[in-house]
Order: sequence, then C-alpha cells, then structure tokens
Amino acid sequence: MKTTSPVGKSVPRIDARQKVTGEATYVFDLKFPGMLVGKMLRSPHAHARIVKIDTSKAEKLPGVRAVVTAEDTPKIKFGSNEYFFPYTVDQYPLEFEKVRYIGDEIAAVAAVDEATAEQALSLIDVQYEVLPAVFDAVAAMKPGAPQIHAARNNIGVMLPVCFGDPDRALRESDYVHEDVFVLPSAAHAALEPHVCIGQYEVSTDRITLWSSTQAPFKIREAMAKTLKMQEADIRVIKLNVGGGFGGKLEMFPMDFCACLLSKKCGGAPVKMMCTRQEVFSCTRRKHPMIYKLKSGVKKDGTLMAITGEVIADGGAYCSYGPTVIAAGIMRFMMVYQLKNIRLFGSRVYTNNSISGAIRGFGGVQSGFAIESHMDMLARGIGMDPVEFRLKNTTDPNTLTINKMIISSNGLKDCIRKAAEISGWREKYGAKKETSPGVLRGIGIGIAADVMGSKMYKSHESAGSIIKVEEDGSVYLFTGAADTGQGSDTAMAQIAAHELGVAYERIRIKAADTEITPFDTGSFASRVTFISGNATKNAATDAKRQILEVVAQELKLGVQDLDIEDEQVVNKKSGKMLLSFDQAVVLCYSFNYGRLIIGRGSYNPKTTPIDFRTGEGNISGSYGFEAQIAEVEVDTKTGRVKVLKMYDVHDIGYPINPASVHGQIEGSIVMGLGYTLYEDLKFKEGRVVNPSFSKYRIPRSTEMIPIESVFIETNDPQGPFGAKGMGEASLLPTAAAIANAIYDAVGVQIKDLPITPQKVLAALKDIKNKKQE
Amino acid sequence: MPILKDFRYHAPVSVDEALALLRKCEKPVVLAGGTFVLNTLKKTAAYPTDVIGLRKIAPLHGIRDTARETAIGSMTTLAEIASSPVIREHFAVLAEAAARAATTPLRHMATIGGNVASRFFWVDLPVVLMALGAKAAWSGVKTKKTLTIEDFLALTGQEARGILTEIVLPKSGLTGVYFRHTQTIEVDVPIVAIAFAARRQADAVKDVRCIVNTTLSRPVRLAGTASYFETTDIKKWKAAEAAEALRGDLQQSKLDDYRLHCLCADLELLIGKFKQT
Amino acid sequence: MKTVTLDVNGKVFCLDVPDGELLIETLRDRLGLLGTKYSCLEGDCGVCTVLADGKNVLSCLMLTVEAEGRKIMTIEGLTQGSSLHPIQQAFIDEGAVQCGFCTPGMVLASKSLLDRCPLPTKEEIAHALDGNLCRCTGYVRIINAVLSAAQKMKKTS
Repeated sequence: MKTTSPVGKSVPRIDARQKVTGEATYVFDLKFPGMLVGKMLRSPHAHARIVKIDTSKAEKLPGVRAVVTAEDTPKIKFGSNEYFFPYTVDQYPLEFEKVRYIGDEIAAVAAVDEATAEQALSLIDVQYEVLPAVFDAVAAMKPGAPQIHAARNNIGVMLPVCFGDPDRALRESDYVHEDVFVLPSAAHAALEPHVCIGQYEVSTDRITLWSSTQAPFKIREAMAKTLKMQEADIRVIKLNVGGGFGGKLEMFPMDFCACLLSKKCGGAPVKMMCTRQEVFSCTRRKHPMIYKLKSGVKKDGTLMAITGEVIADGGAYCSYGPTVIAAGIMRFMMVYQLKNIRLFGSRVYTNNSISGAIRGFGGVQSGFAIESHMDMLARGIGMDPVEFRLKNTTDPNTLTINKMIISSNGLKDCIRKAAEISGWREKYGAKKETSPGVLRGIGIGIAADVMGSKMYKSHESAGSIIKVEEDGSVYLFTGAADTGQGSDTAMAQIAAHELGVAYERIRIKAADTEITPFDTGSFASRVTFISGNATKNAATDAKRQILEVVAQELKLGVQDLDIEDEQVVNKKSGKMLLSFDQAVVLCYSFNYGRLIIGRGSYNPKTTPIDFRTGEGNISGSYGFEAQIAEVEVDTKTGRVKVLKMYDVHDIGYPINPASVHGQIEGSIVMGLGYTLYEDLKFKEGRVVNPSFSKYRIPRSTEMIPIESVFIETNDPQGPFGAKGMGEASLLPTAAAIANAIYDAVGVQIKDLPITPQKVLAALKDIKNKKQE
Repeated sequence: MPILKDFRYHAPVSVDEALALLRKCEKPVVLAGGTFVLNTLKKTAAYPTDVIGLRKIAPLHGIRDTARETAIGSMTTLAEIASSPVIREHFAVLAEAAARAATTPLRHMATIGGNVASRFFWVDLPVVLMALGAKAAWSGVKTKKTLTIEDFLALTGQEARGILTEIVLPKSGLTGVYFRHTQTIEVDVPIVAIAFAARRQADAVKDVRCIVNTTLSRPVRLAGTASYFETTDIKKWKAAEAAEALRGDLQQSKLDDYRLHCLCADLELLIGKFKQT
Repeated sequence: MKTVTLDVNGKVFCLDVPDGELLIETLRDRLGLLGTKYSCLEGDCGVCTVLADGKNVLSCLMLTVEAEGRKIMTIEGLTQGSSLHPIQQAFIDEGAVQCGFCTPGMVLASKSLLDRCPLPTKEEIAHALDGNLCRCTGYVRIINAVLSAAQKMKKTS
C-alpha cells in the first residue's frame, strides 16, 4: 500500500465531527414552512374484515388538512422479494379488504399539529367484522386454521433443499442426534425511530421523500409501483440514519402516506414519525423460528448429513421472508462441507406483526440451532468441538454441494486462532469452580457471511461517480446508504487511495436517488464489497482521465504514469512529475479544458439460486469467522455471566480497522442481548413489551471484554481484498454462549433467551435424572 | 407538537403553601423529581388540572445530621444519597441501593420522596428504609404525622394526599445488606429483592429486620426469618435453616420457585458476610 | 403560559412557554438546538440528555418551568468556536461514533462523569453511561474514548 494511503488505516469517520457536535442532521430535525404532522390509523384487531371506513368526521375537524384511505390509492401491492418470489408481493400500502395484525395500516391523516392528527384518527369510523385469528406458526399450518392470505395452510414461502442421499447417510452414521431449537422474536431497536417527510410538487407532479432508510432506491421503486408513478418523478433522500439493522430496509406505509397526504393537501410537506411503541409493534421484527434437526456423524468426526425442518412465524405479510428463510436453511452450507442435506423450510403467515429482515437475516436463528447441534454431535462421538469443526468446515477454492463458489476462505485459520487466543486447550472441559457453585465454561460457534444477496432485483449493481473540480476538490457520488456502519468513510478511503490523493480531499454525496448512481442499499453485508468496487472503478476512471492529459502534455505513455501521495509519478523512473493540483490545473487549462468525471459500477459475479433446489452462487465472495465465549454460571441462581468473547474474522482486508472492530463489537453485544434476554413477546397478537423499559437491550454496564482478531485472506474479488462483514459476528454468539454453558454445568439450553429460570430448571432436570 | 397536554404549574416555596394548593386545586398532582410523574402524564387518561412542583421548597432539600438521627429531605436525589458522606458512613446499604437504582440520569433527577411516595411495588428504596427502621415525616392535607414506612405505604385515598417532607433514619448502629435480582440487565427493575439489617452484639444479632420486595405486592416483612437470626448464635447460622424460615414467611405470597431460589441464595451470601465480620 | 428565564449554554433566554412544555421541546423547537435528540420520550434511551448544573439529566422528563434557575448545557454548548472538547475529540479518535444518534447524549454524560470523577475506571464509566443506550458500538469504543479523554484532560490540566 502507498505510504499515505488511507486504506487499511483507522482514519476518522467522515461524519464524526458533525456527530460529536450535534450538527449532524437526521430526518426528524428537518423543518419546512407549512409542514404538517401525519399519523397512521392502525388496526386494533389482529384479523378482521373491513366493512366500512368513514372519514367524514375526521375531515371536518379544524386543523385537519387531508385524510387518505385505500380509496385514494391505485390499490397495488408491494413486497420485497418480487423478482424471485412474485407470489410474496402481498401487502397494500393501505389495506381495504382485511387487516391481518394489530397495527395494520388503514388510513392516514395530516394536520397542523400532532394533537389534532391524533384526534382526527379517533374520529375515523371503521367498521370491522372480527375474524378468528391465529398466532402460532405451527397452529397456522394445520388444516382448518384461520386463512390469512390465499396461501394453502398459511405457508407463504416453502423452501425445500435436498442434496445427496440423506437417509442413507444417516443410516451409515455412527451417531445420530435429534434436537429441537426454539428462537424468539427480537427487535432491531435502532435508536432513531422510523421517520419521513413527504412533499409533493404540484407544478411538476413530482414527489420528494426524506426517509430514515437503508435502501432509498428500493423505496423509490416500491413508491413508483404503488403510486403508479414514474421512478424519475420520485426522489428519495437519505440523511444521517440513526441505526437500521435491517429494520429500515423497505418502503413503509408511512413513507407512502406522507407523500400521498402531501399530494392531497396541495403540496404541504408532511412529517411522520413512529412512536417508540409503533417501532416495536408495527414496523418489522425478527422471525421466531423452530428448528427440528436430525443429523449424523461417523466415529472419526465426519459429518454425514444434516436433515430437518424449519418453521418460521412470518406474521401478517411476507416482507423479506423468502430471503430470511433461504438464509435460515442455507447459510451453514458455506460453513460445513457435506454431501447430504435435506431441509424443509416453511415461512408461515400468522396474525402477529410482520417478520422481516434483521441483521443476519435467518442466519442468527440458524447460527444458534446449527452450532449448538454441531456441539452435541461432537459430544456424541467424544470429539473436541474445535477439532470437529476443523474436520468438517469448508476450505478455500471450494465448490459447495449447492454450487456456491468459495474462493478465499480463512475459516479454519479463524477457528485455530480463536482456540489459540482463548486458551481453549487448557480451558475446555476444565469446569473450573471460581467460587462455591459458580463454574466456568468455554464454547465455540462459527459462521459464514455473504456480501450481497441477489434476491430483490435481477442485478445487484452499485455505481459511483467521481468528479474532480478545477480547484482540485474531489466529490464522490455513491448510492451506498450509510446508516452508521461507516460506509461513507470506507468509500472515501477507497476513492482517495485509488485516485492517489489525501483522504481529506474527498467530499461525499450519498444515497439521493436523483443525484447519486443506483445502489440496492445497505443489507446483506454488501456495501464495502459491491459499492466499494464501484467506487474503486470510478476512481480508476477519473485517474485515467487525468493521466491522459498529463501523458499528452509531457509526451509520455499513459501506462507509465500513476498518481501516488498527491503526485503524478513516472512509474518507471519513480520520478515525481507534477503535483495532483498541478495536474488538475492542466486538465482544466486553455488547451485541454477536460472536465474530470470518473464513473464506475460493479455487479458481482454470481449465479441465481434455483429456489426449487437451493442451488446457486448467491454472493461474489464469502466471509468467515469463529467466536469463542467464556462464561461463568451460578448454579444457585442460574445466572449466566459472559466473561469474555473472542472473535476471529476473515474480513479479507480491513479498509478501516476501527470500523471493522466496531461492527464486530456491536454485533457481539447485540448477540449477547438476544442470547440472554431480548424477547419481543406477543399476547394474542399484541406486543407486550413495546418500550425500552420492558424490551431490555444491553447497556454500557453489560459491556464485556472482546478480543477481536482479523484473518486477512485478501479476497481476489474484494476492493483491496476486502470482504463484507456487518452481520457475521452476530450469527455464532448465541451458540458459543450456549455451548460454553454446557461446558460449565452440563446443560444445553435449546431455546432462547437463556434465562436464569431455564438454566435452573435444566440443572434440576439433570440432578433428578442422576438420582433416578 | 406539545408532548404533554397543558396544566397549571405551581411552584410553592413552603410546605404549607403546597398543602393549600393541594386542598384548593381540582385534580392536583405533586411533582418531585419528575421521573415517574411526567412519564405517567404522557400516558394517563386521568389528567391533572394542576401540577405542584416541590423544587422551590427549600426545607425539602438536603440532609440533616444529628447524633441520634439523620433526616433526608424528600427532594434529595438518589445520586445525592449515593454520594453523601453521612449516608455512606452510617447507612451504607442505603447509599448502595440508591447507587444501583435506575440509571445515572434518572438518579440525578429522581428523589427519595418520589421513590417512596410513588408506592410502586418494584422501587428499591422503601425495602431498604424499612430494614433500617426509617420513619416518614408526612404533612397530609388533614394532619401532620410521623409514620413508619410500612404505614406510610398503606395510606390510601384522602389520607394519602399530602407532602412527604422527610425520611428520618435512627442511628442505631445497624449493619445492612441489600440484594436485588433482575430478569434481564443490571439496571432493570428487580423481580425480587431483599433488604436485611441488624445490630451486631458479639456472636448474636439484635433488632433484625428482613424485608422482601416481591414486585407483586407491597414489601413483606419476614418475621420468622428475623427471629431465626435473632435467636441463633451467628456461628450456628445455617443457610438451609434460614431458607426454611424464609419459605415459611413467604408461604402466602405465592412467590414462584425462581424468586424463592434467588432469595435463598441471598441468605447464603448474607450469612457468609455476617460470619466473616 | 409562564414566562421563564433560561440559562442555556451560557446564554440567557426569556421565553413564554406553556406550563406543560418539556425542556426537550423548548430546546429543539424554540431554541433550535437539534443536537438534543428525540426518541423514546420515556427516559429510557438517553438521547435527549442535557446537563443541568453539570449533571446529566433527561430533557424529556423535565418541565421547562423547572429548568429555570439551573445552568443547562446542550451538546452545542460544549464546542468552543471550532475547537472540540477533548471528549468529543476522543470519540472521533477512538472510533466511538457510528450512527451518531446516541453520541451527543453519550458525550454529555461523559462530561458529567469526568467533571465529578476525573480519572474513572472502566467500571465507573460503564456505570455512569448506563442511562444512554447505543445499539451500534457495543459500548467498547465509547468507554475507551472516555478513558482516553480522561487521560488527556489530566495531562493538560
């Protein structure tokens, strides 16, 4: 790397200064003249037919500017996996036939203030015919269960995967083990609530939407479709986003209604924000899942087959359900090398709130189930869990049974390194008692991550534009949507390095559908890899344009020139020819007048997955990691204390090491919450803990020591060898902790969260069994 | 967009002025630190007409210390209690409980008066105060009196209208311990907690008070458990015997197994602590 | 309505506010101090943190009329011209900022801590920041930033 290159260095975040001074603008901070407040009318019933909606009283309330219902809309459905799963497009922006969960959107109002808007909601008279509802996924699949959509047995998405001859492989196994794992729902709990401002321009018949989103281009597409407008007439702008984690990945009825309300009241901007209760109850949540697994191994540790069934409670609509269930049953195929697999995934409609994308998609659920299950298989044949994994994991340059093409792969190195830094050999099985009744244990979990998932469109391209102005300033335009993970910084670093200039030179304009090139958004750990490559290509293009002018002027071959450390150099002689600023002045001079505008795009080389078989290569590359947890279990109270987490991650190459560590640390602490206490609870379809005082997420006092180490495999596809890594660290955390608890006290907890009560009950069980 | 619906705010400068307002106003509510009351106002249907803020009443602030007792003004914040040298010296258990209640910003705002007068089952301080034998100085709309914390918590209806002015702690040389268990993270409300205080005399303890906060009902006094500790030589204290007494005391309370388990584990720690010192 | 005199970031404001107005509303809507963030409004998340007489409190749980007589500081009051407070600089240097929504509150809570306890331990920092949620960082880098700011401030004082 070049001496002053920002790539590989923990340069300060490009947006950090505004964020520490409080100057950073988020959507809720915007204020426009004449701005109105919008509010959604939501269903109080879990399942009901809408008989009649009368908005006349609300419309007459002084201060109310507009009321909209489905009658004001073209009544077109939207969904998130339309390209591969057109039948999962199942939600209207405003429902008019039926409501399917408590919180389903029926109408919206815009008024001069919040109190008036709320009063107006109470004046909308909706007549419902309440229908029987079903809240449990297994019950919903039974014949005779209330029918939520047209899908047979309420199974919205069915995903069967079968490779090899699993039955034979199980027969040939020396040890076969069956397990059932139960995973609860969880909330993203981003600190910034969902918020948007919609504004209609009467003279042009165009819409501008400011939204706190991870995917502005996806919102634009869904808005255009559901409003029956041209994409070109809709501009979606992302400002600073106060966290997403998968919860801000789609168009919400609120986005749609803010624009529609603005149109109906003649162009006044309409701001809408979810209350914290709405965020918890009516946006998206994690799919609760059940994993029934039956797998077999040989005595020598060879994993023979993984079989089973996965049932996911999808709630009222499909959302990103297909991607989630696909990730839920296919992610381990990047991790384990085996020939016999049969899994049947069902994503089931219920009358709970909508399950959707959340960091890891289904990988967190599968991570807990598969990685706990693997430990039990290893135990069954008396093999060390680390050895067992080293024997069965994938290698570099592997074609998996389902045709995923894995090139760089540091998984085995991750496992070895994690075992080394955690002192696995001395600690595993030691059952050290640190005080009476308090025992220590150590456990491992491993995972793989995609960088991109071509499941929402036919392509997954991202684009970047770089313009170099006369004064030498460099502007980067990228569609990538930074939601706090630091993609703007990483893109600026990549652009600076490739262009050969200082990081401080880069100014970034990101995620504005009218100004920046297309980008599918921040999800599937794709941004560094895909948008990063696009940005690198744009910088290469801009550099070439500058060097062409210099070459012409100095009568040198363009191939012999490069820009490094803000200097144009002759690569052959190493001689500095002129500074970057001088080169730019030359480009814009009388003789040349060459405007420097570089462009780049990137579409990863993948093959679409055939969802009838599960075959295909979903990602351009794959990331890997191993995580080890050290815990202490108090056998008197059942309380589990996580002492330390070790994370070793094949990140390819870290563009910004501090940001990469930050992603890992944030994921682990989020995983800690999901493992030990986070549980979005429902009663008859109603969320019972929709606040931060009832849905507890980790606080600073829960912070644990984390040792995070990188394995640099320098991916051949990634920009400067980098891979995506925003999700993987969350996947193995729960299993690593659960496996460590087993190591400490001999109980394997198979349903999250691992509460003290469950640990105590399990300890009591084994005590009773011993006595028998 | 106002978050709260409007009301009339009053800032009396004396307790008598506050009491006069309480008598006069249609639907008044007393505001101390605000952390409970203002949150409730965001949700309640029974909206007050008047909010009486106690902030400007000087005598309600601060800690008065004499040879015999320590009086904590009801507007003293939890953070002030946690860091007060006097409280830390004489009532360390109260300082610890105050330091562990809620979160730092809430401790900077919430007051001991609000904590006790809220009558929420799950708050931390009343159990500890009961164990320490504290009294509540109460200026009711009808009468002024000094009550035990237990009696104060039992006030209802008209009787419960007034201003809690002080919490008075007798300096009786008690040693206390407080254990709290949460279901999730540290700062969560306790699902069960136990406060214990006693005066050590050679190998015995006197004036034992053992109070459990079940979060399901008002604090429960464990008479049997206290008597076990009082009548048994410290060297002979056994966790199993104490636990049996505790189970006996809590027979009516319908506590689940897990909570009982936590309390029994606490008794073991408590016994260890007393045997050590 | 009440007429209140507020001391915010060392400036004095005389305002007419409804009795029921919360400090977060006054700061954001009347004074345009948007660094005070708006999220749960229940005192649980800490993004609306301000300092009152140097102590971190929640502006969603304080009536504006009760802020009278206290010195209020918002995140905007911490920056002196273009130079950052050492805590702000440490948050940048240690990579403690991700989405930034918790950052103003975190910085102010850290200031309140360092003003009363100039060289805290990691545990003391964790305890002092327990009212400020962060979903991005796992708190690791935030706590490191406060440690490093404390050391820098000690050196310069």
